[in-house]
Amino acid sequence: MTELPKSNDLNATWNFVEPGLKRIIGGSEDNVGVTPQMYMNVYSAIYNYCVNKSRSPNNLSSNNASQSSLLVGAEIYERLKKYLSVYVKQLQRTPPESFLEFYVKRWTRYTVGAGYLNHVFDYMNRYWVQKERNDGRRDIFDVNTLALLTWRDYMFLPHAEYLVKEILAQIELQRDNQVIDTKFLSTAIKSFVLLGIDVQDLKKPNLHIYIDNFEKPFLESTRQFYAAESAEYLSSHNVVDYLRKAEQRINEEESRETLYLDEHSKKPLTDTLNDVLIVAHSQVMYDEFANLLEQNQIDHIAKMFALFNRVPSTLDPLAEIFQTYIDLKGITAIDNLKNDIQNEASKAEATGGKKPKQQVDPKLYVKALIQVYKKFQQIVSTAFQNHPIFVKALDSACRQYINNNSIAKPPGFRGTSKTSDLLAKYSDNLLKKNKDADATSDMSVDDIMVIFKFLNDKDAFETHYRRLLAKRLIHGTSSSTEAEETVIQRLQSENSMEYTSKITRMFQDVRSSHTLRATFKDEASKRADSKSIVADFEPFVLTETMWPFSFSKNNKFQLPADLVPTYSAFQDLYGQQHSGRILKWLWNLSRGDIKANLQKPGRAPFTLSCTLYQMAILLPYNDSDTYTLSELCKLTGLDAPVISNAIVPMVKYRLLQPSPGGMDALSQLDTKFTVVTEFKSKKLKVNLVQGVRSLESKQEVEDAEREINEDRRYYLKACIVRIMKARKHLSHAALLNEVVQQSHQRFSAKVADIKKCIDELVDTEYLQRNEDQSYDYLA
Amino acid sequence: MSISIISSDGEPFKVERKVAERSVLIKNMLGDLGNDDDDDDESFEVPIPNVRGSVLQKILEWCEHHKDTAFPDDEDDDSRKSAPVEEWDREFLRVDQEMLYEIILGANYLNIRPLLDAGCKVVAEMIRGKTPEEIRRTFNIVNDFSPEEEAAIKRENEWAEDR
Amino acid sequence: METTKVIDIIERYAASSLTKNALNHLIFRLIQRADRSTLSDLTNTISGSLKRDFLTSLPTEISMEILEQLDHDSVNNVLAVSRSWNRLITSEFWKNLLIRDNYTTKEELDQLVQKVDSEPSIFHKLYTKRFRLHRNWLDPDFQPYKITVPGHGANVVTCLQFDDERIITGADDKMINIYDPETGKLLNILSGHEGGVWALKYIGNQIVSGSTDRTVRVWNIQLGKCTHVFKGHTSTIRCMEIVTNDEGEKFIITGSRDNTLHVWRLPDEDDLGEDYDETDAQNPYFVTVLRGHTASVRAVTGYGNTIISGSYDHTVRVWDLKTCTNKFVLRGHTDRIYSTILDVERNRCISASMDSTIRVWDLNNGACIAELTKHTSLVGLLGLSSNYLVSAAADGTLRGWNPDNYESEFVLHQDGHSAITTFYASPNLLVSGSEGQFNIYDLQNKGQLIRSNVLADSGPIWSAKFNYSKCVVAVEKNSQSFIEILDFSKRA
Repeated sequence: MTELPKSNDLNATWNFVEPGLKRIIGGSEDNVGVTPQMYMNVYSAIYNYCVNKSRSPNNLSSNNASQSSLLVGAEIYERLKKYLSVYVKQLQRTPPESFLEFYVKRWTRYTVGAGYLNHVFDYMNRYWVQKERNDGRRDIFDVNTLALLTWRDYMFLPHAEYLVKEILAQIELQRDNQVIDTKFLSTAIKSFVLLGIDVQDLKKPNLHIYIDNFEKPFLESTRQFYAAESAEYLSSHNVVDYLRKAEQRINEEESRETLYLDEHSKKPLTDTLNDVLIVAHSQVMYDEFANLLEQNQIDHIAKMFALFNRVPSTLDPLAEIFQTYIDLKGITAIDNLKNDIQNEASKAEATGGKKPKQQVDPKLYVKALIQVYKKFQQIVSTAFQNHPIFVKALDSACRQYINNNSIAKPPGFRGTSKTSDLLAKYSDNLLKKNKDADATSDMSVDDIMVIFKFLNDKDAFETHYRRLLAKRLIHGTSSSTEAEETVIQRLQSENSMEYTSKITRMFQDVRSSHTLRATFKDEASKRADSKSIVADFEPFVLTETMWPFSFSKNNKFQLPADLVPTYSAFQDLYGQQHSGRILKWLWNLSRGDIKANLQKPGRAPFTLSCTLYQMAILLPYNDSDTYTLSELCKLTGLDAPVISNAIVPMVKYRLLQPSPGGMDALSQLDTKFTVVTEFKSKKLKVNLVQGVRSLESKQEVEDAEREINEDRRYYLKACIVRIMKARKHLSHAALLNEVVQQSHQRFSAKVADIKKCIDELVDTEYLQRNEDQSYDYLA
Repeated sequence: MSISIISSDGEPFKVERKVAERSVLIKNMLGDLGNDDDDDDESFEVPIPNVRGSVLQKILEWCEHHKDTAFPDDEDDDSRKSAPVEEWDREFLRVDQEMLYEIILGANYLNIRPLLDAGCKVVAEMIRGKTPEEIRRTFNIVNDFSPEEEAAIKRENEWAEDR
Repeated sequence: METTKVIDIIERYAASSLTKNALNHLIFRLIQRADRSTLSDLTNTISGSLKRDFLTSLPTEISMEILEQLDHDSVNNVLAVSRSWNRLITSEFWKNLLIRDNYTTKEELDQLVQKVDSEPSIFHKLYTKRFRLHRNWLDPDFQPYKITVPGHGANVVTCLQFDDERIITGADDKMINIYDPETGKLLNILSGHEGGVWALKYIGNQIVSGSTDRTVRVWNIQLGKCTHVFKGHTSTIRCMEIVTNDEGEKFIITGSRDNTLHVWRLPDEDDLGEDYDETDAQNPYFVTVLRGHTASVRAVTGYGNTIISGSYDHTVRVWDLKTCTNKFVLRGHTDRIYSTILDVERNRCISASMDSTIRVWDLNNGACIAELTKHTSLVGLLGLSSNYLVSAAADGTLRGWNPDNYESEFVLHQDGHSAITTFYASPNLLVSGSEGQFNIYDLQNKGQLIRSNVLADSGPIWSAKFNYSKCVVAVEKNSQSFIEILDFSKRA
């Protein structure tokens, strides 16, 4: 093996080492690779030199406190540095290879060589370089880094612009669907990353060279390219085609990204693409969106959504258009329904017959609302993948058109939206006993809940629902208790326990009344006058505030003598069980069955189902055949209009004969009513209840409306007091906000109403208003 | 796969590649110059110009024993410096000082960090706890201080030793 | 011919005419002719000549490695061996030893490096001094010189901080005391707070204190007076930190029972305020209120632009000082947080809670990296040194964890199992205090207990801090508070 140079001779060492360097770094003309011999020789020569000098007596005698002079390497380092710079500077492109080819080839060879060099100079790296760097000399580097820096300074920076230009040209070729050598590009671009060396912290990867020299121009050229392409494309193609093209281009670019760009560029590239392809043309796409909705092109909408979803901020205008569209559709659907009703009415009028009331069929109304909802809900789930913005748009739109449409709020109408009422009626229809099963087969509790969710005036719904429920409970017209309870449960879970509290109490009352009935039957049998007590007396004891019935003190109704024993017995029993409670009898709601022995002898008597009032009217006919209206008034204690209404069905069924006849006579005080002894009826059981014209309906509605408003005022006041008690001091605006928020679950409170309530509270000295429009709580 | 390592005095040693790669120098070289898919590395000869046969043999013996040992990271100075010398290593290094010296130099040259550390610790132990005179005797060192110098040092040390 | 002459001739011939190999060969052959006793004698001669002056003949870098294995006394011996050995021990070498043995901090080194040209043996002297001090700490029989001075009467001493020039204590008696650490003399009492002082930090010539009177006060130590009063909190200020951001500006961060943290700029030292008394809105030092916690803020810590707060609402929040926003809400604990610390090097923060666990959080993404569940009661105190994360719990145990992978490294018990009220750790030592017990542990030896008798007559121990030479402890004895100054550079 060759003789190693003297370890204290710098020149000899260098001359020995240089040919090896040449071969390693790639400067030799011959193609002979590096042999182990050569490798070890260079390593050993460096090692010997470094090790030897460090023990030189010259150094040890120096007074230098710093130890860096005790270690050796500076001269070799300098020579190496110079050698590398000379080598790099003289690299030349050999035509016909392009600059890019030249660069990549040379770079590849150079980096491999640099790696070898690094190993071969390992001893110097290990000790001397480390020491220098620890001492703060940040301009000394390990050999690999030194090599890279040399390349950067002498090859890269002087030619960077040109190199980038060639790279970008290649990329553009690829965009035009030409085949290029991606590996070349990848290597070239990677060199940018590797050359970004942070001299302070060699271990930290630094992308500044990559970003400044490559990424910036790349993004810029990408932007320009696509801005031009997309504009041109849109001018010659329609929007739907553009959606496809944009999608395609984006996918291409993103796969390109993974192929040869650095991770860092991922986001900026995406942002640029989004900006230029999507945001720049968003208006055109928005305009097309309405058309797509109209044509129900779900796939295209999905594509458009996919594009816009890349830039979340662009979804808002889309959602707005969507919301407006849904609202419009909803309003239109209801308008159509209203028109249909009007047409029916006019048709009916035109074909003779009196003008029917323009009643809105609750079922049609609810169905119309739901249909619109369902249609768009499907779009939200398929095309928009249930994205929250669109779900919200759908909800807002539904809330809008369900509460405010031409039926719910006809022009000039200032009450609460009629939707609550109509929904309550729908529920009533669903839950009532119904002979016609078909009518309810397409109705469901789900429908109710869908609309309920969107109701603004939930408290109005509760009132109406409760009113109708009361009737069902009292008159036993519920189709099934389970169905009723399901609805209640769902209302509870959708809103709150508190919301259905009154209803729950109502059910409880019915249940306890049931138990009471059994008890009464028992007790009654033990009484002395048990025979005169009605055996199957069904009491309904209702907690006054929970039920929507009003007790009229002015009712001077006389209970028929036959019923008094039962009445007394029950009063006694109840008084025993719950002393201290007062029973107020709702005669106007009571019903019963009367046996009428008007048959031919030998045949079973008729059973007449009638209201208590009707009973009171009929029972006197046990004593006489004819009574005038005014006589009946005196006997029963009822007012004439009430009696007239009650009598109507009896006249219709020809149970009583009025004289004079005719509808108008029915309300005359001196009209005589005679019982028809040969009363005929096909059925044994006759229902007189249904024909009773209810005076009440209009009254009821007004009552309900009033009740709702009163409840609301009360609720707002309680709310305000609660808030102020906790906060002690609040500004006017803040208080309004809080109140609106808190009452949102029940109904949407109007600012004017809140203001009025606040005023009332100030008057009653619950609150104090300050000069700066804030309020204090007065304990 | 095995490779052939040749000492400075021409003695060849055949060892498994894994064993040889305990030396970072050899590992790097094999990585740079060797063919990975060549099972036939027996032809691969690594000349070691700075280490003579008998020392190289000892070093390779150490590498063979530790071919599977997991050593702490080179970067982890703390655990490297504070770890005690393994019993086997201690016994292994119980040689005359000349050999110990050459082993340390060889480990430094071949970049075998754990062996170098062990060697240094062993030498440190030879110094620890001895008076200066005892140290001189251990290493055959001549006291080249002048009496004034010696006195000065003693004074400084006294100040340090003062309990 | 005489035998000696023959031998001479042969020897000279062999040496001059034979090749090296032939010569060696001859020698080996001759040895084979030697008898056992001669061989035995030969061994001694050979091994004698084989002795090597390692330190001088090995490359310097290796000699340094050997020397750095040595302890203080051995290094001093090396100095006396020979000139060449002596020269190897340079100033740089002593500096490395200081770092190796944790006898100095980076800040101190940076300062000393400036002086080394004028005082070449500065590192050597410092090393020796610190070595001796540490030896005293480690010696269970060494009684440090003790000065006991009255504290704050019958009140709890809540805060304690000291350096070579002063000891500063804050207490529930609303006062801040300043003592001389050498003599224990009470130099000054700073009064002004209208409630107990529960948070205190000082930096340079300024003290910042927080109190149950809801104000923050800034004091100038030299002038002994209060220069600024900051109002804004609506409840007791329970914890505080002074943070220097990346631009070098200093901020006061206060955490309060009012669930918020307030950030104030630390006024310049020479800004005498003219007795400021500012409320939030007009205060020029007020920076922001950090809102988010829904219960008392119990612990706050910060570095650079990051602030960590721990609250009774079971969460830890990470705030960015530059944007004054909440970066992360770290959820996971199921009870109150009592202590938080920042691990700047690893970009993590660590929280200790009443739920008996310690959680480690990654500050890059707010994820919980580790949950340490070995304690069985409220963990109230945390400390981080280079080799351990230390935690103390209400059941009287101290645990040391590996600061990288959080494996449990050691457990220490205080006798009597009373809650640990305070502890303080450096890379080498750990002191802990609980009811009537003050322990000193060796952290270079897995927390081995060195001694527990040094403050044997105290009752509760409220706070303890130490530096290389002194240990200052706030204790209660017979219902009165005292400050004990233990000086490990002098014997009792």
